[in-house]
Amino acid sequence: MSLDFSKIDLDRINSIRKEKLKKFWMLFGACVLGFIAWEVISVSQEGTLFVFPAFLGFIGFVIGIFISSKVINDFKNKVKNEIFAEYKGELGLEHYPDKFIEEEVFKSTGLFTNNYDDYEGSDLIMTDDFKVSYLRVTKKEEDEDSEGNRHSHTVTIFNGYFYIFKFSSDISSPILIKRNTIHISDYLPIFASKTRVRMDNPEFEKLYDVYCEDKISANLFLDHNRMQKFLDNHSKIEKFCKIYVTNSTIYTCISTGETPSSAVPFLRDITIDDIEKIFYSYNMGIIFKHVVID
Amino acid sequence: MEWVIVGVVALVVIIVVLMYNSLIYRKNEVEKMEGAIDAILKKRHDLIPNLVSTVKEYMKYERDVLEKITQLRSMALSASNEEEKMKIETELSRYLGRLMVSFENYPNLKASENFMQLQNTLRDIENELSAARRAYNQAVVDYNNAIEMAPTNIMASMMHFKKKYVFEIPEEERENVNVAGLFKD
Repeated sequence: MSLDFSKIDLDRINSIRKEKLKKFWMLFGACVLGFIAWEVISVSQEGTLFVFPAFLGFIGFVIGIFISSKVINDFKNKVKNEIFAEYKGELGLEHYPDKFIEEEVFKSTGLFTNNYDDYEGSDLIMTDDFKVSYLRVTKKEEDEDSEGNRHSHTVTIFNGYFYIFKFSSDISSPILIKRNTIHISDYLPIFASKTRVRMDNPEFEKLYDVYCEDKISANLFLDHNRMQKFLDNHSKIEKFCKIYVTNSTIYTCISTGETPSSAVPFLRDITIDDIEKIFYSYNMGIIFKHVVID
Repeated sequence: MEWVIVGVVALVVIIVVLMYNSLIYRKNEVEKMEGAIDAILKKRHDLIPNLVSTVKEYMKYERDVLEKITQLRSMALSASNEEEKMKIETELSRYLGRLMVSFENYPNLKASENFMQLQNTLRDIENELSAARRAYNQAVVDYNNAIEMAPTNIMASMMHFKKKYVFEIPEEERENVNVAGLFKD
């Protein structure tokens, strides 16, 4: 089943985004100039006569940063509260800013380790057969420095968007697709992997690993067309991609890390335009580019 | 010194066991895929009588195709060896494909719910068969690699493991399709 997003006015959203970004870049530019002025003047000159403009530059820089982040937050809130709310009734989308995908679901996919300490998220968006939310999963670790002092730090297990799509298929066994790693069994046949499925597309094999207890299910799901779609869109993938497929659901994730834009292939009867319309990155106001394989 | 010898012997034993197990595993995988293909082919064979009886009243001009399908089905069930069976099944796939293309000329047939269900089932079976054949080929390649690559080739020759052959389409089907020919008659 496809979702009908023809009613979403993407142009309107884009124009708001451009307006906000223009303001942001102007302020950011002013901040940078103020900072440079502060640096140049305070380094090249001495004396209170020249310190004052340098100080003003520094204050301008700080205020500019504050206002810039406010501009971005304004855009995020506008999208969340006004534009998205307007469409949810028409499309049957529900948006729950404070909710996120259930922890049991995250654990059940096996896409990431279940050895973590904190699980949090936001912005659950859902219909009857589609869900996505932001998730942040972290683990606290401690290490010791050379003087024996213990320091704790946080390791990010996953930071990004987690998708769940419902679909129907003849797959009898769950499939896990992830980026390729080195396998000793490829070089030393004394080792044999019981769940790894080697696909018959050499280019796909170089880039992706497929795990499934039933090799026929894996081949049924990853036919030549689908594998080719992965390959066609592989160059757009910036972040690590994992996909978990059962006979009724596809789970996939986009790890945002520190940079906001990334592209990941995932499988569903939704076009790239649909995903652009439904889902927005709240970092930097940039719409995610998602590549869809159907 | 004694411990070194014990360690080396233990290592050799472990390697031998790993080699043996990996060869047996790969051999069994190929047999498992062969069994899976047989099961899917059986599903197809069971579907054919129902399909032929449903369409024969409508598709009067395809009698020869229907008869050929019925004949090939009987031959497949009584095939004496794998190679012959594979040839017959490939031929059967071809004729079923022709039938599915021909049904477009029979609007009454398209309106039949029974036929549409049979057609969907046949399509699903063909997809499953294609996936099973691909999985079989992968299992065979894996097995052949194991019996030809070192160090498992040593044990494979001791165990008299022979190379297996992947499923291949016949030469005539590798040629480009003559689209104009499809529209004749």
